[in-house]
Amino acid sequence: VSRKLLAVALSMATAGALIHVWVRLQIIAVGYDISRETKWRHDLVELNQRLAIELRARQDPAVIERLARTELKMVPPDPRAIRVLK
Amino acid sequence: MTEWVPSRWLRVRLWFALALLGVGFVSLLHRAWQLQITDGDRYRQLAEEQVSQSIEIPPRRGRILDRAGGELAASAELDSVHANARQLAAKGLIDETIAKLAPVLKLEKRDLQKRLSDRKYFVWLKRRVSPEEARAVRELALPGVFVEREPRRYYPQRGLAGPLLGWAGLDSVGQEGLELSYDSLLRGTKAELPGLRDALGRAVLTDGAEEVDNVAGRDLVTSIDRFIQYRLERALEKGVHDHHAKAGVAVALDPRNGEIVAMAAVPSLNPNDPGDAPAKGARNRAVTDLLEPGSTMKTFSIAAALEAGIVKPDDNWFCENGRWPVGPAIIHDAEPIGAVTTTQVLAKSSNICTAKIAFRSGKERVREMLLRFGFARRTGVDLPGERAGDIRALPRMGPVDLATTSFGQGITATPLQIAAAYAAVANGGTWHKPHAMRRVVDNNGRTVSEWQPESRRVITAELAETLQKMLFAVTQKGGTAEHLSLPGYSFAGKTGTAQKAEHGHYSQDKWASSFVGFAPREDPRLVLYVMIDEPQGGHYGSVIAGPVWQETMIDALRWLGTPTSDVVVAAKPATPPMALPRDTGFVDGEAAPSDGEVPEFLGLGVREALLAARRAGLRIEIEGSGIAVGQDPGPGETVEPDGVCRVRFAPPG
Repeated sequence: VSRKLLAVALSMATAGALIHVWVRLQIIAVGYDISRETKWRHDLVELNQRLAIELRARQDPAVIERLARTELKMVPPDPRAIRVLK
Repeated sequence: MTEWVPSRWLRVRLWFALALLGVGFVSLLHRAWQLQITDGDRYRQLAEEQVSQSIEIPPRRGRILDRAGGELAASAELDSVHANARQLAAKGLIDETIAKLAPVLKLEKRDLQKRLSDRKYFVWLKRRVSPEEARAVRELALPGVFVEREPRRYYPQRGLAGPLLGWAGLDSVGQEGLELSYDSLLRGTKAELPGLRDALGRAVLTDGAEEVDNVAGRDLVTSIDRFIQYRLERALEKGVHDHHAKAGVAVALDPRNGEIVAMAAVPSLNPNDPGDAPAKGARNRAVTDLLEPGSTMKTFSIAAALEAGIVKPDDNWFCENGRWPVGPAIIHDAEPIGAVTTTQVLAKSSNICTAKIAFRSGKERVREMLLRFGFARRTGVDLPGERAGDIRALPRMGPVDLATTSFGQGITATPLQIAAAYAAVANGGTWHKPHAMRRVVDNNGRTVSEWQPESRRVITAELAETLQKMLFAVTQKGGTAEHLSLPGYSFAGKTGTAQKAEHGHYSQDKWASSFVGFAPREDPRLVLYVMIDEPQGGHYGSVIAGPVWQETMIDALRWLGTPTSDVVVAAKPATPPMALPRDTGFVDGEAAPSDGEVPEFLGLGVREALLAARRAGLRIEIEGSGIAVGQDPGPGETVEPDGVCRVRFAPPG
């Protein structure tokens, strides 16, 4: 009986140790995942920011006016031609 | 078959081996117990000290936004390439690295050689490289060569509002303008998250990353109107250029609350690359420059007398035909003026009669009125470098000083002070502290703080109305600004033509020409001050600064959707919308109340659709141009009162 108990105790101790190691490894793996996802998110935010800046740069009134005048041959309307609806 | 029986000696050896294994196992178990349980905390701490490291999250500098939420300044990260020159040298990889990197980074080999020659642990090879260059360097996977990200500040509208925005330096620290004023809010805080670094230096965030959002700088929402700012800058540049002037400055305020709608200066600067622009005179002149305001001050000198009840708008004055001795000095008018009313004194901008009015008021009243309107002290605007200006102290203010002070010479003020004072006249007598900040928001768009308005009543509403009428007369026949016009709008304002002081005397050929006014007169939406410094070939404020004011104001009023005084209102439908002829114009009449039913827009032109929408009490969103080919909601459907209907237009055919 004592031998059996010893064997069970040793098995449980070994299993416990293995589970402990497995949990630690999982924590490390999840830590890598969090780190990777965080970086990915950061990259996406950066990309979004760069695109927003690019969009805003293309909406620069000076650029729009230049395009309107040179490429579309537009001119400002005569002030008398404008009516504001109340 | 006989059972094998181990010999005694063998059994002894087996037991001995078992005992050894047992002792070994128990020893191991004991040691494991010691390491994990008894001394576990201590060893864990030691281990973490070796491998754990705070993962540093650099803060993202907040954005500066215009009043519509468009970015005036924003940050984005760019890649930079650096190397460990000591490591490269130790491994004898310098030449190979240079040979591979030079074509990728488009650098001369000798430049790279020079950078790596110091054998330092950290050497920048090229900063802020293009994404393609960064990718190419990463693909080379050279030992000792690294690609790192660095934040960079962008001003996507280029030079728009440059002196007002200021700029942030390489280290993302505000240097001037709003970037400096709100630096602590915009900058954010550097966050350090607990984590580990593995043998390859990779971050392992074992405790999560939820704090990352909290480190970004706040966004600053300003009151700047991008369009008005742009129009003002273009007009001011043109004004300065056309008159070969030294500089120019302009400020547009919302008189209802003191918000800075636009602020321009020439020379200006592009905050993306300020370079030596500040040394060349690019600065936010509206707050940093003191000038003698000239005739724009007459409004307040006359206000002092009107408030005291010792002068009425229709009192008669004799302006000495342009020449009047005061003590040792002789006061001149630009043109000889004879008998005029008080209103005409302002309209014709007589120095002599303004001085006479000031003498009747007394220096105490004149000075006190100027102080009340915010002169000789900082407005407290949220911009750096503001100056206070100066008014001569009462004990030192003799008759000549009182006379010159009354028409804006011998005192100094900033353009912003003048604009804020006129805003008080325009809004019925309340002075509002000018400001560019509307609110501060976090990166989730939640408002963190808002501008706390500061206002004080400086004159009564009745006196403000009287002054408005007098300033309106300036723009009418016989006034100094009679040739200025805003088609469809009435406006009021005052010209200013000040001689500049030079070496203790007033120069005969250096002037500061200005115009300040507001429109529409009945319900002012904008106060605009424009000053052109040292124009050539003329110096009258109405001629030099007036056109800049006029051009900007008309565009601004239209942009703001301000109805003209001869506003055209769409008529009640005499016939169903579809039956309207193509060239139906807008005619006077009242709009019908809405029953919420959407009319049919299909087949109508933009103008007719607008007209039909107005009759139905609807707002429509127009997409494209030409003839209406689609609408949402469809004809006959109902929408909420003041609802919006989207109408899509396409060219006919």
